[in-house]
Amino acid sequence: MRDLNSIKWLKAGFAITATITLVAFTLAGAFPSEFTSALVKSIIFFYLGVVVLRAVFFFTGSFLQRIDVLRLNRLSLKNFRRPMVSVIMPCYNEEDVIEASLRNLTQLTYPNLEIIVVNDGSSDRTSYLAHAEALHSPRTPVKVLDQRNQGKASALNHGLLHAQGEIIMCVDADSRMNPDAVEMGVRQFQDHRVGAVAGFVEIVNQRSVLLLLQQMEYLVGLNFTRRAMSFLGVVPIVPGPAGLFRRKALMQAGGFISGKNIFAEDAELSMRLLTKGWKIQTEDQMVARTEAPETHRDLLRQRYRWNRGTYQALLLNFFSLLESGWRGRWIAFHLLLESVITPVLNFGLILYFLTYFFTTGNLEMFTMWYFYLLGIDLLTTVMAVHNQGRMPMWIALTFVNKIYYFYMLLTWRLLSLYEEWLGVDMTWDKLNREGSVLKESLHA
Amino acid sequence: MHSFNWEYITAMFFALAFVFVILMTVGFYVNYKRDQWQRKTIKQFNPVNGRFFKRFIPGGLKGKYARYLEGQN
Repeated sequence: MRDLNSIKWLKAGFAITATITLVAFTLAGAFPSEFTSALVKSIIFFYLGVVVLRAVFFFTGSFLQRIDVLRLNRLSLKNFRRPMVSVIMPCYNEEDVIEASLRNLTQLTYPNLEIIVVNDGSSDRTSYLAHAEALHSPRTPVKVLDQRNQGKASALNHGLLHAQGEIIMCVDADSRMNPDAVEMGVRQFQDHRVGAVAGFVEIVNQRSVLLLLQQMEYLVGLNFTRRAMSFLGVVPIVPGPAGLFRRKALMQAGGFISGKNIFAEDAELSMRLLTKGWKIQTEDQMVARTEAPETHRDLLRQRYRWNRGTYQALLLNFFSLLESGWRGRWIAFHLLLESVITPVLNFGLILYFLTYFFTTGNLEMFTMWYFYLLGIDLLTTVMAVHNQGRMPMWIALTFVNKIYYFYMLLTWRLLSLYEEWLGVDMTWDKLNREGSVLKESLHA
Repeated sequence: MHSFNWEYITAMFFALAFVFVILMTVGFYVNYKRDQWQRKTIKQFNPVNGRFFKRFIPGGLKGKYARYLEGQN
């Protein structure tokens, strides 16, 4: 990490460039001339080129990763070392789901396992229920630690202090793992350069269009890209609900950190691991099923935290990533592209098309741009759906995604970026868990 | 003869959809910020500040509302 001053300048630089770009696009649309439309056309081609290259990279990467997985599957037929794994589950006011998720963890088939529940100063019965459940776990030892409310990162570090395993697994209290998740993930640590393994996340409560769209985003936007990045060992974010870490790597990176300027401790830690030269891979057989926010309000609250958190983590580690070798440079470029350049360019182009339409009544360029993007999106979805062996019905959702969900999140990302640039105070808005799906599975 | 310009209508539909989605998101944003602001500035209901409890408070009520009456006699 650099000193805060250079980070401040970096932030200001991004903010000013983005604002100038947006204003320039609007003005170019409002006062059209041959020069500006030629300029915008070249920017559109640049943008489309980037999108195509990205799709090609994801396709090749995920294809090669699958071959890699086949190799691993052959390897796993032989006996591989099964070091002790400590599962750390931080929880705060999770009385609705804690029993179900603890029971799920005790049913994991991995032979050498311990579970550590860290109660982060809950004001409800979480601690009581966890203690009660711990008594009924015959096979796997369960420790319950209580602390006053200090945040998720602090709870994870507290768990880490008491963990004895060589591998640390971090899970969320509202997610459920498949029984052989740990075994599948631990295989990847046979490569001594691997510092962390990211699991896959799926949504349990797929019962409205908004939730289906989120599941599609997880399929195409997160899991598919994660596979491609995994081939190079540069998975940018080890997700909170399912992540395995080598204890040595965690200690070398300095554990989890949190504070006023870090709201995505998982992204921040992953980037710090990459700066230390560790590889981060993904394991598609380690799946965490989790509840997604059901209303627009909750979804946007969650995304606000993700957007600002990832961006904060990127800013903090930007220079160290650039200095840490090709992996770090790759990930810095990728995250900059995903979280700043693409949203600003995309939104700027929309502003351009709208103002251009109001002055000239012409929508030709807009149509071309839109359908080209839609085409690429469709192709990517087809690849992702094929790659992960899903039903083709997900492809149909691309149209809804492209007209509504994608642009909602894009606008939201830009708004949260501006808040970050203006330094607006933020708080950790905990989601209201319905807990219904997890409960249903508990009583089933 | 007049005929529908399907290209234009489709493009217009998407453009309007964009405007709608963006305005909707901005609306969510305003709502979110207002909610956060309200949470920050919310004041607890205090019967002592009401119309009838300015000066004279009978003994029974004084006990009942003792927790609101700090600093007053």
